[in-house]
Amino acid sequence: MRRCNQVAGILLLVLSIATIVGSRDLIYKVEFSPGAGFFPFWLGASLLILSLILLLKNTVFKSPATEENPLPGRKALLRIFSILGSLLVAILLFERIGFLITMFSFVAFLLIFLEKYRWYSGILISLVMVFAVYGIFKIWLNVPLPLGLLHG
Amino acid sequence: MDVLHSLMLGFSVALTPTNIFYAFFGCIVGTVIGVLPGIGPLCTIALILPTTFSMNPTSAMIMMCAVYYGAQYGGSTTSILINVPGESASVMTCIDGYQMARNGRAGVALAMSAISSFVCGTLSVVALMLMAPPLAKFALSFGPPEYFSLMLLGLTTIVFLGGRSILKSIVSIILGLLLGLIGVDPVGGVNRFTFGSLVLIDGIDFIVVVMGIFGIGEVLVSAEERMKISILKTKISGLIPTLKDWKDSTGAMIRGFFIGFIIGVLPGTGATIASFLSYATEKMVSKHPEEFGKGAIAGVAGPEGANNAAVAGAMVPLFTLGIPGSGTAAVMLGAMMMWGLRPGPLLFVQHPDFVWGIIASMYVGNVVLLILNLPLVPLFAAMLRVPYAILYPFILILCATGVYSLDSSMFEVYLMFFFGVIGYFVKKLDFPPAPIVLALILGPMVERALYQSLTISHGSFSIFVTRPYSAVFLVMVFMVLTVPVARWWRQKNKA
Repeated sequence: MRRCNQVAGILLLVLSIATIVGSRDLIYKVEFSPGAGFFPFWLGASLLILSLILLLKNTVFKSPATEENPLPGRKALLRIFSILGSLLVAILLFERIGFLITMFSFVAFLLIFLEKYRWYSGILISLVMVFAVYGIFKIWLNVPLPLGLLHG
Repeated sequence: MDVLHSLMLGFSVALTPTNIFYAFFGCIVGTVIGVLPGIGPLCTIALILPTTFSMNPTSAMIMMCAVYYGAQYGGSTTSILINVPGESASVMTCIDGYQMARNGRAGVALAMSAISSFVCGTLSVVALMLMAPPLAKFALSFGPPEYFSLMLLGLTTIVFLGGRSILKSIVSIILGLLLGLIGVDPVGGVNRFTFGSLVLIDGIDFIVVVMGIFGIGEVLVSAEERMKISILKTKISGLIPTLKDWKDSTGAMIRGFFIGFIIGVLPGTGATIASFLSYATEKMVSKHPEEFGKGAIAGVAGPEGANNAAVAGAMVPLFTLGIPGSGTAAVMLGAMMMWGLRPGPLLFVQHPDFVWGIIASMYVGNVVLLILNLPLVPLFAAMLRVPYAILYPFILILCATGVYSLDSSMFEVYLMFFFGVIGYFVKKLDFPPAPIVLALILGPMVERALYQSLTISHGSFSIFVTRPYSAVFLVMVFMVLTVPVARWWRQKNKA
């Protein structure tokens, strides 16, 4: 946990500096009242202090390492990457290929390859699920979902 | 008399077939997601939000509230049967509820938690009804400095009474406030942190953040290990509590109601803390504290009642001040603004049918839930057999489609993906996620109140202490700040 907190601390530190730098481009004060840069500057400054405390707490004053390592093992990591990766591919192709085909392939991939469902039940469940969502959004709510390849 | 009159108006709204349907539907959805671990009321309300744009705001809010308190009913089922809280406010129910189930008293535990939820839920709606109108009238005199101090109080309570690392809670809040900065600034109309992107000028939609962090992020955390759910093989029979059960539970229920409602009203604290406090209280006042942890029914009745009472309590600041007390209430506030309603004290004057319709529907909903939960508990318990492997792809495509449906914008879907990854790390590193959402929605309001106050006072911060109510809120902020110091002091003296 300590190493993770250190990394988080550094990232937050970078974010806080970026915010402070960004807020310098905005007006800090107009006549009587604060300007657009006032709030961002102080938020950035507070975050700067907090990230330094987080870093110090986990580096200098080594707080007892009772908390276990929150990072996933190799197997879990692979699962997460499969889910995230397939989701990313699905949303990248979403507009081009269309809602039905992308989402069906996405769910079927997860069920059959990741969750080891038999191929026919995987396909059946995916079909039901995708058409249910399609029904809610497209038919009931009239949301324009991309048709993609099925179009024309 | 005034209240009765208004309540009649409320029932005339709530008892229309459409609104009964939405209350019923919301109750079912709420119970279902309460039962299912890994998806909570916050994410669900955000998920159904896109479906409400074409609806009447009153019906939509009735449905959302029903989901919110329905989830508190459903959450106990999982706690009792599989020792996994269906959502965070049911954590305490696991302790004695699961033990009761192991002793073959699952039916009684489930029934008593439904009854306690009903009693406390209904009592707290009465309290909401009596308390909200005078409070709203009082709040009409509030100006920007009062609102600023009040919101500061809300944010401070989240940090210092949230029960997590104070440092990490503050970081969560600042992250939320920073996200709220993106877009046109609320006073001068300057673009801030938009990185030249036209899409970001409108700011980041809170739905995108909620679906990312609570939808995608939650799925990633839960999917990391394949959840092995083992339902206790017990017959859910003998729902009727014995006379002794009643005797043990009645006091717990009433105390649970008071604790839950008060905690719910306080900005920044919600159902989860209410149930913790109620459990601790029951253990303290009990004549047999040694029975707690071994299946004491008061340990189920108290917390389950408290978490329901907290829901109606949370509606008090939301309706009267326009300030959300919890992440879920914050999403509801965001929803109200999207429908073009201005939450705050004027709501009671300008939209009495909206407020009273919802209050009346909460009476209806609690009855529906009691009826649903007593005989249908085995059915909901059976739903636990739906494997998470099927549930999470469904949550993922619902999130993606839901976000896309907002503006037909792929950019927002990518943004949701990004927040999903952020949400995963936020949870893994033990930063509390709900304050991010709360701060994102409150951020622009806080900033506007601050600017307006300082404009009134010509730039002097003294306005926050010279206005009496504002000063009172700041004193309360100070009192909240002393809580961790007191805790530390006590621990030190003990050692």
